[in-house]
Amino acid sequence: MKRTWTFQAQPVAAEPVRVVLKQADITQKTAFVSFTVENTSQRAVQIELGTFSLTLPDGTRVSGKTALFDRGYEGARGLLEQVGWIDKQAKPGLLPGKSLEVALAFRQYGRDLRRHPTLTVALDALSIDGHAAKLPPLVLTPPPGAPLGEDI
Amino acid sequence: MRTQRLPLIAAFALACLHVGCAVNVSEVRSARVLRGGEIQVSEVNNIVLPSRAIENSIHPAKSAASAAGSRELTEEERRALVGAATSVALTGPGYGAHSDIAVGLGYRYDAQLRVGNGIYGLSLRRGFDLGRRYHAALGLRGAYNSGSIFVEYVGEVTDLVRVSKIHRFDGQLFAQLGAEFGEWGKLWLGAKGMVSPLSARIDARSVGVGTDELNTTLWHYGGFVGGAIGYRWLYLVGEVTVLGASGSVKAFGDRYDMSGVVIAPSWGLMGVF
Repeated sequence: MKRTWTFQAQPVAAEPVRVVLKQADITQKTAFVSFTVENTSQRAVQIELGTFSLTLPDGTRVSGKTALFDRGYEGARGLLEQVGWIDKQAKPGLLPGKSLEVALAFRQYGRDLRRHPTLTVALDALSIDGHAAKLPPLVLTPPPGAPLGEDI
Repeated sequence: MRTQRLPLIAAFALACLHVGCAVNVSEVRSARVLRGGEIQVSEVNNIVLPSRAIENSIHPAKSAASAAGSRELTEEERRALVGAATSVALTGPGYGAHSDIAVGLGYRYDAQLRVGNGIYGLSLRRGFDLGRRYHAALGLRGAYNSGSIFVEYVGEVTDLVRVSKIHRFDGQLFAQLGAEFGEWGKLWLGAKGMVSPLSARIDARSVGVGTDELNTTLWHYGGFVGGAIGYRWLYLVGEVTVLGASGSVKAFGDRYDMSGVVIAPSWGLMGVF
C-alpha cells in the first residue's frame, strides 16, 4: 500500500523571482512541500515569508508551517530582539541568480490529501521588497495513474 | 524525522510491552475505518470480571477443595469442583493483554491482526460515510484462542481439577458507531456477537473422577463503549465491553451451565500513523 505520493508542479515566475517546486511528498494527512525562490533580476531583493496556504479542490484551506525547530528559533530570537537583549539581525537581500529554499508542511486531519487532482499552494505569502509577490499559485498534480477520490 | 518511520518504532515498543494472556472481547479502536495505507498500532489490557454465575459456583467448590485433603469427597462436592474449574477455564475471569496492528486497505476497508499470549486473530471492517465527524463500521473477526488465564483466580480449585488443551475459535460480528474530535478525541460504541466452538481436556483424577474431553459452543452477545484521548499519533484508550454468555458443557455425564454476564474493562495505548 503506497502511503506517499510525489506530486509535480510547473515553475511559476513574476518579475523579479521564479519559483520552482523542489519536492512535494503527499501523505494522507500531510503535504510536505518544498520549493526554491530564485532571484531572476539583476539586483538584490529582500524576501520575507508569511503564512502559506494550500487549497483543496473543494475550497478547504490548509495553513502551512515551517519546521518546528526553525519556528522556535525564529520566535525566540524575535522575542529577544523585542526586549532588546540582542540586536536586530540585518537580513541580507537575495543576490541576483541566487535562490532560497522554502520547506513547508500542510497538515489536515480527517481528509486524504493524496487523493485530489490538484493541490494549490498560494504564493501571496511571499513578500518581495515589502510588497506581496504577484505570483500565480503552484498547482500540484499527482503522478499519472495515482488513484483519485478520498474513498479510495 | 518524517512520520513514515513511526509505525515501526511504535510496533517495536508495543511488542516489548507485551505480557500476559489474551481476552478476546474488546475492540478498543475508533469507528473510523483506516484510510488506505494508514496504520494503527495498539497495546490493550483487559480484565474480565467474574460473572455472578461463576461466583456462585466458586463458593461450594472452594469448600470442597479445602475438604479434599482430609476426607473422601461426596459426589456433590466433586461435581462442584468440576463445574467451577470448567467455568473458570472457559468463561472465567482474568487479566489479558494483546497487541493489535491494523492497516487501511483502501475503499473503506481495514484489516487488523491481533496477537496475545494464546490468541491470534484477524479482522476485517467496512466503513460507511456519515460525514467528516461521524463514522460507522461493520466488521468480523476470526480468532484462535487458547483460553488461558494469566492471573490465578481460584488456585485451590484449578489445582485440583485441571482444564487443559483448550482449543477455542472465536467468530465475531460487530457494528460500530462513533465520532472523532479533531486530532485529540475519539468516542465509539457498538454491538458484538461472538460464537466460540471449543474443545478441552478436563483432568479431575486428583479428586477421583478421572479425565474427560469437552466439546461445546459458547455464545456471547452485547455491546461496548469506548473512547480515546491524545494528540495526533498517540492516544490513551479505554473501553468497557458487556456481553451476555450462554452455553453449557457436558463433562463426566453431567451438564454444566456456562451462562452469565462477561464484563470486560480494557485500557491501553494506541498509535495512529
